[in-house]
Amino acid sequence: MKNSLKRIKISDKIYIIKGSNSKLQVSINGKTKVFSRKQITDYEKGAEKTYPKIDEELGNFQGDKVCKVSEIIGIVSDIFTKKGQYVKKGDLLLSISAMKVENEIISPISGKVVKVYIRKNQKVDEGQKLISIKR
Amino acid sequence: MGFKITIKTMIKKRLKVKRKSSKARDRIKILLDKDSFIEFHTFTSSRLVKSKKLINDAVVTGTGTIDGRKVYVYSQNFAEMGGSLGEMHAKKICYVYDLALKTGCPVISILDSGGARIQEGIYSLDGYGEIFARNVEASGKILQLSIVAGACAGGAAYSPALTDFIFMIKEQSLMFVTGPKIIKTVTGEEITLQDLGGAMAHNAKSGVAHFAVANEDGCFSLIKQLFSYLPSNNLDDAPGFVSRDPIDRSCKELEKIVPIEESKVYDMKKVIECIFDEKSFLGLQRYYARNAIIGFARMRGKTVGVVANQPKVKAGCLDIKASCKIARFVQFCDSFSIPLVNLVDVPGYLPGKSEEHEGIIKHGAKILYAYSNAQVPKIALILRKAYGGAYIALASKALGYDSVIAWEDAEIAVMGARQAVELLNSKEIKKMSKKEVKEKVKRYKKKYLDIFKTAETDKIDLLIERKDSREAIARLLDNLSTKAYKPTNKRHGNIPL
Repeated sequence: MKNSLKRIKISDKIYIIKGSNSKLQVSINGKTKVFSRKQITDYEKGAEKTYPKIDEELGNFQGDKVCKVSEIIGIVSDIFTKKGQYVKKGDLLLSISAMKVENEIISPISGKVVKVYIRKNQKVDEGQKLISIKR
Repeated sequence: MGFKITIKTMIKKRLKVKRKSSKARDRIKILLDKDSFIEFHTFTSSRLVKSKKLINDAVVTGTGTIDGRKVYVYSQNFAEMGGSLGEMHAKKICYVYDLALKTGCPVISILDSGGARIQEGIYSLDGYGEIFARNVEASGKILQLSIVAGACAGGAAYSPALTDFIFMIKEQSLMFVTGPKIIKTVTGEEITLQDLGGAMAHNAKSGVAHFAVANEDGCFSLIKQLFSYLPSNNLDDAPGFVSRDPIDRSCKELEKIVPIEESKVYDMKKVIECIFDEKSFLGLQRYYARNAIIGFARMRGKTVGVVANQPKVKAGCLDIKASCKIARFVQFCDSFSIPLVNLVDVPGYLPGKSEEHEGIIKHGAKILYAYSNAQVPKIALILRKAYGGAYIALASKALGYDSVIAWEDAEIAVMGARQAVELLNSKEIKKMSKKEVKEKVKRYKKKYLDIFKTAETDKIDLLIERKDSREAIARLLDNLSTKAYKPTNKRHGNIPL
């Protein structure tokens, strides 16, 4: 086993790192903690590893046709698309004014707007249909 | 290890069967560190059902390590009589739980079972009871993680529900109390297995599960990642890591991420990523009640429980689902001594008929209860706004927050300026022109919403610029790290469940 000692100064703190092949002892301002080598390498790997990216907001739409419904009670403050228009995934479709905020409704897929169910300044309920898009 | 090979030959000699590789055992081997697994009760079999298929009574139990930390595991084997739970099956699981409780080690369960073994009648039902009792006893003492690797039907579904975190695998995991066939005969509703109790059903709709993972390998790597944030029991500390991210890193990006106009929305995740250690945030229940974000992150290498509002979804308001999600998370962090940091940008509790009738009062009170009850360090950072009851729940000193920090342009009030003006001048407002209303709102804002006025009271401990958010939180967390627990002589409170 090879022991090595290293001093590192970061801002006002001095880190003393003592290491062997399997254990690493770190002292920071008098406090000491021992890490196993594996723990550290795993953390480093973990930090760089990209976990399966989840499209949380848009979810997984398998079908061809999507109908966006309102998640909140509010008033339609602006509509940015028209029937027949092509939109891309992530495009802003319309905004609903609710809870003091403009809630943006974003397209979950790329496709053609088939129908717009609402008008500007109309009140919408939770679960009410807003717009449908076909791939 | 030598004795493992002898067990193999012993089985061959004694039972005259060859021990086949089973999925249950393979799963444990993938989950645990290499060669660390020790299996218990290899010869235990059912008293009531004699079958050559039933070698381990459909469950593999044992102990081993993950990243060098001791854990206890059990894994049900669907290939042996559908992984059904009999008397001995339950006893094996109970033994593992008892040892884990004595030694303060986590229990990880890999569930893949069709339910109770019908042939064993009351003995198998009794077995479930024994397991549930241990789940409850272990709750808040040791960490309990469940992987639903296959089916988990009937009463069996309640065991993972009593544990801390549930992992589900897409297109593979199933959880329900009654299956589609029974539902059809009773109510006439038709639904597929996956739609009823699949991973996404429980991650997006019911909120029962905490993670939805694409495949088994992903699931095991995620469980290891989660485990690295958590202590093994309520007396241990969470493992610390060396962070290369400097504590006084300036968060200049926050000026771009968070728009100044209060009606504009933004992604709170970016704020979290900016404030805490680089790439350290792990979100829980990412598909459920997305208007609230919960998860673990690290600050200077130490685990922190993060609760934040997501303005992008439902304006970031608190509703029933979000309240339940946050309250349970706070309870978890409190029982395992993980400090809490709130990032608050909240317009209030969601108004509405359905919310009221479904009990927003009761469910909203859960947050108040959980936070008020929590004795871990609690820090709240108010970003742009904190209105009404949601302010009390998430950022008020009165509820026992140790430090309340606010950005220099934050607003704290009973309600938004416009709404307040409309309410206070409900008679005159119809006659006023738009310009006059605007003027009035402006005046109101200056008079009542100015953060410096609020800061004249003792309700805000620290006013900061956006870019100093990381440093302020890091230093305060460090300060609070020695916070002591007040011992109490009450059995437990009566949380509005």
